[in-house]
Amino acid sequence: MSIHSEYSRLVNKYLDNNMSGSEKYIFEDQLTSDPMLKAEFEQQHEIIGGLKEYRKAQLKTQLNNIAISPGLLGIISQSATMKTLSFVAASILTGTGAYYYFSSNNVKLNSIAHVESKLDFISSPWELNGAKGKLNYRYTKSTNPATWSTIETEVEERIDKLEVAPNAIDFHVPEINENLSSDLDPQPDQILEKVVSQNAPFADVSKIEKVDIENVTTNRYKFHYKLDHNKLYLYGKFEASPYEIIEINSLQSKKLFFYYNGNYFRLNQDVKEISPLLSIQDPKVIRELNIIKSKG
Amino acid sequence: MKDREVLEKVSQGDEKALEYLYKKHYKMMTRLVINNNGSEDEAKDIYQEALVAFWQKAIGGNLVLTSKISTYLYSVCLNLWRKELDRKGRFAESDKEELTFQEFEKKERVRIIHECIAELGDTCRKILTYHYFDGMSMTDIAKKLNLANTDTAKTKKYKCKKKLDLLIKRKYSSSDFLD
Repeated sequence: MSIHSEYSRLVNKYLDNNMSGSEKYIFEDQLTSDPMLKAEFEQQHEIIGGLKEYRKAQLKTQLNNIAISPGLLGIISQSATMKTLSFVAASILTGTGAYYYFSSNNVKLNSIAHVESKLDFISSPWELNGAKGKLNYRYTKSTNPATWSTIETEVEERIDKLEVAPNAIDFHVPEINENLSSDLDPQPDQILEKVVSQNAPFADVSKIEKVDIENVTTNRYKFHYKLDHNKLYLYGKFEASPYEIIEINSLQSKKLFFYYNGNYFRLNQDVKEISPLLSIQDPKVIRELNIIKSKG
Repeated sequence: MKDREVLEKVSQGDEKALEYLYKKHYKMMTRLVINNNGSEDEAKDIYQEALVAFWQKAIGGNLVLTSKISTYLYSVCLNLWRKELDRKGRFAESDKEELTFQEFEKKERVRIIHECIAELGDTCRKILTYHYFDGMSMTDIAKKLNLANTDTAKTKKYKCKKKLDLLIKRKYSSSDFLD
């Protein structure tokens, strides 16, 4: 047997893990002192590495050839998400603008007798002629409570200019009594419009901040949450199905919704204590959330 | 199929069970990458890597599942994607790295090895890859490939490996990779 064959036999025996403890020790010692043995070892190591890579590539090709039914993957691809979310954002904006425009006109016509003083009425940032509006959605979904916080989709929508007639913006509206002012308050079932249209003139433009989530396993709470410094703590077991976070950002406010097991839950940012998750019952809100979720 | 059943089949080298698993969690796992700035191709690649790693561990008997298979795969995908993002980030920061001559030479050698593996007969290729990558025992390989017994598988494996070594050494010599 040539020295090469002997080296090859030894190296294969070693790499197949067929050596006894002492044989291994002697081999490893020889490996450091014999360059030819070392060269053979490196070559064999490379060949075995090649065999592994070959098999891995073969398995991956095999998996790659499996037909996966199209559907969600196409829908959630980023470009499609952008388009659909833009559409939803534009619809909401148009709806909000129309709502304020018509509500305001009604107020003006009906309450002219109650004029006591004047106030400058700016219906919402979206209606300012030439002003810049910004609507942000963040849609976070997860399937694994332990690791989910890094999964997110973020779509930013900028509207530079809305076509609103100037006299629809700058007119003065009299101070209105309580009954009439209720016309301006979005109804509970218009909560989504409210999110994007609330006017807080002194607030800075809100930034999208990432909401971290931590799942706390405890026997004390079964289905509770707490929001603290932009971090959501979930108490209980949330493993039955994937959960998802829907975050709706407007200029001044941020609303968070939690989806789990077919139900939506409002995450109230004012709640600093551990609170139970209460599902949203209003079918209109659920329908709106379903739209946003399906575009996620 | 329940997780336990899938794991049992995978650990016996049942490739159909692996395919089943692939389809089952495809959307969830690829979404993880797509939602984190990855392309669909990258998502696929990461998921396949994760699944192959799962396969290898399961067959080697090195997998003790303390969670659902999906949870396990999810965390593997996540780790792989984090590594990939990190690698991409570092690559973007530094100037385009050029391969050193040694790296180039190594790549060439690996290419030759793959060529030689492809030249082997089907049984030889299977025995060697099942043994070295999947970590299957010779008894299981004998069963899977309908060989007479474990000893037949061992002898065949020895011969196949020798043949592969020879093919590679010949090609190395002609490419000046051997001094």
